[in-house]
Amino acid sequence: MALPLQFKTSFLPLEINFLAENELITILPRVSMKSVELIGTNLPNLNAMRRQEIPLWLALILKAQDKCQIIPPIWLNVAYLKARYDEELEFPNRFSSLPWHWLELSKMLLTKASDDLTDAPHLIRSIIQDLREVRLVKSRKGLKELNEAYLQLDNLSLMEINEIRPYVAEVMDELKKLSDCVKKDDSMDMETNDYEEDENY
Amino acid sequence: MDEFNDILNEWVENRTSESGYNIQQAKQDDLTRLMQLVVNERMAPDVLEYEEELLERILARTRLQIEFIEINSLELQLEKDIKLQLMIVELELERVNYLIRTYLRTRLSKIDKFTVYITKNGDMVKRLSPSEVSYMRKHFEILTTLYKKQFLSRLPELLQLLDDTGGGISMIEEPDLDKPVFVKVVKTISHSIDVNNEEVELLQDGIYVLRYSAIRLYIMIGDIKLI
Repeated sequence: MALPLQFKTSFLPLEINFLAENELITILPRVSMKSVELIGTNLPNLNAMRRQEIPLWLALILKAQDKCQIIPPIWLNVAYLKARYDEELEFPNRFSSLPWHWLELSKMLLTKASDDLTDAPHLIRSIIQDLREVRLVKSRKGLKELNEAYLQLDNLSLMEINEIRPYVAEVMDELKKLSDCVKKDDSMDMETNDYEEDENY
Repeated sequence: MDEFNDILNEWVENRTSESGYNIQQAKQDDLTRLMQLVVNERMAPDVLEYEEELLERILARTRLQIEFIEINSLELQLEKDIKLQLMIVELELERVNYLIRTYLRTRLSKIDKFTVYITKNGDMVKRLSPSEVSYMRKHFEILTTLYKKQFLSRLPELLQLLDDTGGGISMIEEPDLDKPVFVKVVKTISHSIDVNNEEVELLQDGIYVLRYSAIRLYIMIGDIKLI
């Protein structure tokens, strides 16, 4: 009761977004501002036109107030994402390396700071959509490999992992139960065999 | 000239904080740790160690922020600058409170579920904070009283137990430590891990799904984190 059921098996997309909002991002302040003492990290003195790294949630507030410009991360442009997309096609058996929170960060920046991006937002959106789809197909194909022991998912981002989590966890759990049963049967067979042999003896 | 002073001051600030104990870094580490604790707790099948010192430090800081808000909201003539500052402080406070709340709620839900198991297991009780222990005891007491009054007292004495393990089925709910969990490797594990007679090498930044029991120790050390 302390925690509703939907929170128990995996995270809500909202919660993952929350985690992503704590990632650091570089801003270019438009105005100077005095530092603010905070619990997690202090907002440093901001000087106009001097770059500063701050958590994303804070950057988005300042951005909404028109007090800063957000410097998009190096991976958030068409050229970089296109290269990753080509990589996805070239190596069908692995995922290309993208930031841990690439989906959430790009979504937030595209909706709240689209004027600061280097490329046209609709182009970025479309390449992100392509990238997401090709990775989704791959991760679904990979589900064939599910077994009871372990699974490797290198380079998948948190949001993508969270999507397949309930399914993967459930299937692995069931497979494990099955294999445990088989093992138990085997050992029981051996015991009865021993027993029979004893009798024969 | 003003700007020059600012830059100079900042430089001095940075220098002093570098030489001494770097509070800024410590704050940031604490918050990162708290976020990881929330995630670990949510994904681990059993109740993890309560990190009292960390929580105390963060709670002390939240109290300071509340004071700050109270003092500054009292003034009637608000400068524009202080308004924005207040908003930032309030929002951050809400964010941290949310994390703490999620952490405690997740623990409570597990404590409720595994009450009998935890009570019978001294090591598990040690993982709880004092207030969690007293919550667990009281809650269980109220619950058993209710059950007794409602229906247990009318059953034959033999069937009144709440922790019966006879008859092949245990009434005590235990965490399933073999549950598959998703992990990310923080530091390469020097020797391979045996999972179901298969050797698995855990390399840095690798993401795996494995049985919780196989990597539980590494989560406690921090070489592996749950995701």
